Amino acid sequence: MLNSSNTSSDKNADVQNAHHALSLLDDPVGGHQKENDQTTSLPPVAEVRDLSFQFNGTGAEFFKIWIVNVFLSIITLGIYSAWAKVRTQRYFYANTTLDGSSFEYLADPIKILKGRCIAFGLLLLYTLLGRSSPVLFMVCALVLLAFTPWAVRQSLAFRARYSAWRGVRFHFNGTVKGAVNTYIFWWAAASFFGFLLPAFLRKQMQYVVNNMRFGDVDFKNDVETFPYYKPFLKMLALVLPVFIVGAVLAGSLGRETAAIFFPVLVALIFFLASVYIRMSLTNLRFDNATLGEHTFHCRYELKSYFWLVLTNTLGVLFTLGLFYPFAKVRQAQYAAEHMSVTAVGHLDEFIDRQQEDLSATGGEVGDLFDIDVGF
Amino acid sequence: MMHPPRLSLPSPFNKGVLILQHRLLKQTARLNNENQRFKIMHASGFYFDGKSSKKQSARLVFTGTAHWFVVSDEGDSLTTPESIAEARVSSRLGNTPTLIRFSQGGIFESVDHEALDAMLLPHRPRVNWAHRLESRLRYVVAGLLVTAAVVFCLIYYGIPAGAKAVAFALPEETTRVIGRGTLQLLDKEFLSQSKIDEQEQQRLRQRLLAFIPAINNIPVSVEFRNAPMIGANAFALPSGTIVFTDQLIFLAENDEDLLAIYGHEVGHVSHRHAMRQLLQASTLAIAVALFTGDLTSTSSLIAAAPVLLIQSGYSREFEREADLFALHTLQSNHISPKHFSTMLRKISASHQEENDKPAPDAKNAPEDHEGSDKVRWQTYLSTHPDTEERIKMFDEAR
Repeated sequence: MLNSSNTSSDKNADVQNAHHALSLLDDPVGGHQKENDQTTSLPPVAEVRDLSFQFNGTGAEFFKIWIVNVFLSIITLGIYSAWAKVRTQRYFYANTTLDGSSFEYLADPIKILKGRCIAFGLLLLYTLLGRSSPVLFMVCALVLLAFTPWAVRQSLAFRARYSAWRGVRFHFNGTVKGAVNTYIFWWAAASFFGFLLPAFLRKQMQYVVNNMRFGDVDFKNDVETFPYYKPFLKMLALVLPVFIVGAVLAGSLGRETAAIFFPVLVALIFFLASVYIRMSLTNLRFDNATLGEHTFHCRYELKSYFWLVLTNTLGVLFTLGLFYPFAKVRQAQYAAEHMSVTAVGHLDEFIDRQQEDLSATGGEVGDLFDIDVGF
Repeated sequence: MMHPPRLSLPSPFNKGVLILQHRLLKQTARLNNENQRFKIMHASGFYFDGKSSKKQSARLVFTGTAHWFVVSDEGDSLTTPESIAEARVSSRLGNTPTLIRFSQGGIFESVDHEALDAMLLPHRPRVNWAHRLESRLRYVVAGLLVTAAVVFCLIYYGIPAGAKAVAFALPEETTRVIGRGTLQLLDKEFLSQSKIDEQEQQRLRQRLLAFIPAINNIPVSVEFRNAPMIGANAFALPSGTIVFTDQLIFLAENDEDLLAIYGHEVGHVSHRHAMRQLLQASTLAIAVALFTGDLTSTSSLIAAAPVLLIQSGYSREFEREADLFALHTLQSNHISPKHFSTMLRKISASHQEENDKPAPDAKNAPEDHEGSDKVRWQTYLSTHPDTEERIKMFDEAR
């Protein structure tokens, strides 16, 4: 219904009917107990609510899950890692709630294990063939490049297919052709002409978001190209003067101090810039994305996000990695706190589409070759 | 008469008689078990029909015959009874809700873990095994210790052993290509043509190569370069090329001093240290990247720091191996090991002096000793006390 192209009056009638039919089942936000007395009065048509995401996991709890995962993966020589992945994903999905309902990760570890075996075999073949002669190496690299769009598509479809909320699954209907267009042509263009990078990132975001659907309703993010250039331009405008001033200052301080001062300055600027770009890309991806009539908001802020990244980085460094599960939980908490949905009416009307099972190979191949296509 | 189907009997009277007979016949333990099975159990939660995102509060009810079904708050049954032993139940994970999927597509979600476990565990004793490990401190501590031990062994034994095996298995062609590439890079960034005159270069080259012409089937070659940025130093490339800086040549008072340093560098070539260092560093970097890969909020800083720290440990080990090689070579050629300790002292002192002058960024410098920027800050961290020890080893050697 949210997906229909009805006139607005038809739509309102539909919403009203749906409210009438479903009002008995309408759940109070976040509550477990239902208040039956209130069902006699109909809620106003298309009531607008601001719903925030919530993350309920804790670092201490995830630490235990993580360490058991690592331990079992080691003693099973990596076989358990497929189960470990599912448990980790499930932990973060199930602890994230929207409108009182949590998300669900449904992938079967056996499928992930099969996918990992195939990916590992391919990698082995690639290294062995690549070693033997330069010509074969080139052939392998080309085959791998041609194979990447398929793997990206497959991995997105796999993840969507096994993600659900209130029993309704996500679905990814991007084509391999679209993936080739984005991840080969646009990627090549952006690698040759650096100034096309923001445009490529926008294309990539659109391939992921605009092909995603929840139940029978499409996600949409129609952000223009310019907003993607804005953070890069801002960054240049800020970084260049600081860099030049720093260089001049370092020059006047004499070689001795400059040798310490300048690398530190460069590292700091690089760190700040990468955090700023990552933050902007996250906001651009989710903010103002729509799902039917519902609108997403994503407002990461530089100061708080920078603090999060800095403390997570230092935490992981100074605990030899033991802070890692806490860092992951803090990151999920931050994401949930800074994202929300403006919902129109209630969220009961998404219809699940039955889909054929996908093999996990694409998903795992995508993971192994570290192609960041997260949604 | 003894074992008729209990529940399909015609009259209440007969049923009563039969139950009485059963009570007489069966053991008390069996009975208690029956009683427990008939106790009515239920868990509260939510129901989704699996077709739409409609959510309704509901209860999961235990039928008493190892089956369960879902009823709405109004008392309507939402699913048909299904066998618990064959149910699709998500295993417990922290405090997250448990989900039960019914064959018609319906889903029951509940955080009433106590009630669920009471129904589930008698029929599915193993379903929560991972949760049992994850929720008990002793398993977590044991897991932590084993993991730490394995990671430690991998870093200190596994990676070096693997790198050693690969370095010795690599074809000569590969090491030659890498060696040539490294020298080209160094020439471009830090080195310039030697200021020592051709004849002297030729004489030194002949003297050194006559001392050790090849090691472990790797032909050694000698190069001289002017390197004001690096200072007094010598380094061995993967291909077996040994580079002396002019600054080092000037420090040497006689040929034996240079032979001692040359022995040390040939030690690096003999053990293929340069190649091993390269392999170890890249393996470590990949491992750290894989480990922190999904943590998008961390940066490349995380990947770099542990790699650098562990690398400094590895290179200390390599210096020791090369020193031992030099010591044995000098001793078997009846050259005093003191030539090496003298040179070490001089090199150390020359860099001490130079510390007032800042060094340029010496990234991508090959495996070497107390020379480039990277190695210089390492010196403060770990290798500095070592220099004393190394000098002592050669001073005390006969």
